Amino acid sequence: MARSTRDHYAALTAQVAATLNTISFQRFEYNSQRALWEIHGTWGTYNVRLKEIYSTKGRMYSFYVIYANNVVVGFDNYPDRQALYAKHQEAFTSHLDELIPHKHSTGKETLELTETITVETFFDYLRKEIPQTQKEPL
Amino acid sequence: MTTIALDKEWIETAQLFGDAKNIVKEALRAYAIQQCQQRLDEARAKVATYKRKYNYDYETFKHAVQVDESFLTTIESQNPLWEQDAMEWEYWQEEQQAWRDQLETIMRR
Repeated sequence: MARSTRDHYAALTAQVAATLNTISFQRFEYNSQRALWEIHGTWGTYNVRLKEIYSTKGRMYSFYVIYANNVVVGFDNYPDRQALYAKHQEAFTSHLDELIPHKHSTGKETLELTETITVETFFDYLRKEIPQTQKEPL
Repeated sequence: MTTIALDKEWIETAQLFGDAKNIVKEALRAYAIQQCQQRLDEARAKVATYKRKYNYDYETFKHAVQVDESFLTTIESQNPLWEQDAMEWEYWQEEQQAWRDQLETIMRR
């Protein structure tokens, strides 16, 4: 698994480097059981922060667009109360180990459930919804 | 049992200190313990950093953001990107446990 994981994240890093305008930070740690991948860069006037954790429990991700230290949009699957409740309502405490893909709106004002997001689909969203030429969040 | 070829000079070096087979085995054990300890220390340090930042151990923190709405609201207001910390915190928790288990296994041999 280690080699395929390394190759996967190397390819992902190359894709991110080819898509974002600049890369300001990157790191990758892995062993046979787990991997941690993080990369920061810019998309037009926005900062983008991508992080993935791969472990025996599955793939956790957090892909955020930041403008002036505020969240413009964020996708992650961390099972916090709001996400758990959105998916399972009153039975949410029975699903605490479940990863819940969701999207945060600007300023994290609202949350909506989503399909599992990959770096590729995140970039598709960026190209469509947040043009690089846009100077400020809508 | 797997056989690993060693250069003759390393066998001769090991023989300076006793039976080559035992010396190599002991050296490998010592190396493995050192490597495990190094990784365990790194994981402990990372976990401690997050514990200091959020003032909770990971299990308490995770449970609170999962069931306590007011706690989650407070965390969101203090650090809107807290999920990135939480994910990594969990990663280092797992690393810490895995290397602790591995070290114990080696020490028992």
